[in-house]
Amino acid sequence: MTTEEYLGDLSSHLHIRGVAENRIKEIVREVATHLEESGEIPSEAFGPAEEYAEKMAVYNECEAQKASNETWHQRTFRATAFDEMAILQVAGRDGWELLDVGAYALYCQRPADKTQFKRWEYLRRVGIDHNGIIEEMIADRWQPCGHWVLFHYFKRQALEPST
Amino acid sequence: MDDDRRTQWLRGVLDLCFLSALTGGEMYGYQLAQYLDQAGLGKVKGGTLYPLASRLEKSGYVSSSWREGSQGPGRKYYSLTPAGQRYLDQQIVRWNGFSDLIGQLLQPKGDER
Repeated sequence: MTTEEYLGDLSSHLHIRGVAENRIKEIVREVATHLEESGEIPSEAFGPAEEYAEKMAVYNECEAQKASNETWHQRTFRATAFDEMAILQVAGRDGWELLDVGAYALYCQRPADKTQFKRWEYLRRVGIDHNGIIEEMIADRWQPCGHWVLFHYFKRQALEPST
Repeated sequence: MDDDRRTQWLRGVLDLCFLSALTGGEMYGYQLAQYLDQAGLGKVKGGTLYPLASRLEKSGYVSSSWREGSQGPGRKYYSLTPAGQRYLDQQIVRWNGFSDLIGQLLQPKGDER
């Protein structure tokens, strides 16, 4: 993988994780400068682009204090109707619970305390009979967690524990 | 094994080394990495250094600004904030206490037995 490819990858992984565009530019530029000056190989110096993006995205999240005094992290993933299920699959594995959806946005939260992470599964149904779809899904243990035009999203806690 | 142990030790104090390096003035990322390497800590990877810088910046201990180079790419310079200086001073006292304690614990006990 060339440096250019690595930087492109890094940029899109940061983008998916909802990092602000000006911040993405800064992060990528800092990596580029470091690589240029050190002559190091990107994945050796910074690790896989996705992992590095995840490390940096953490500093871009909002923290919310809940009534129970637990601290939660909130993140808005950027997504489209073409890639959102793949993004949700990875996010759910990493403990992110989908709270709502918007145009190009998946609003998620997870506890600040890693040991409290739960693993989430997601499913999308497409259709115009909003209420009918929700009834069917609830009967099957799925919980509605937002809809956007004809797309309806459902979540449930996965049975196997998060790793 | 020896490397593993060294990595573990470093994990606990790398942020203090980072802050301490900035007491002499602002530095950019790669310059910091070189400074720590020359000081004997070994090569701190970019994948460790910059997330640490972000954490310290979010905590308010360092601030940063971009500066265009006359040649080559622009660089992001990090500098110590007053809050960072206070934090560093407190933590140095704590580290010295801890390091003295371990030093004493690891003294050979032969004479006392």
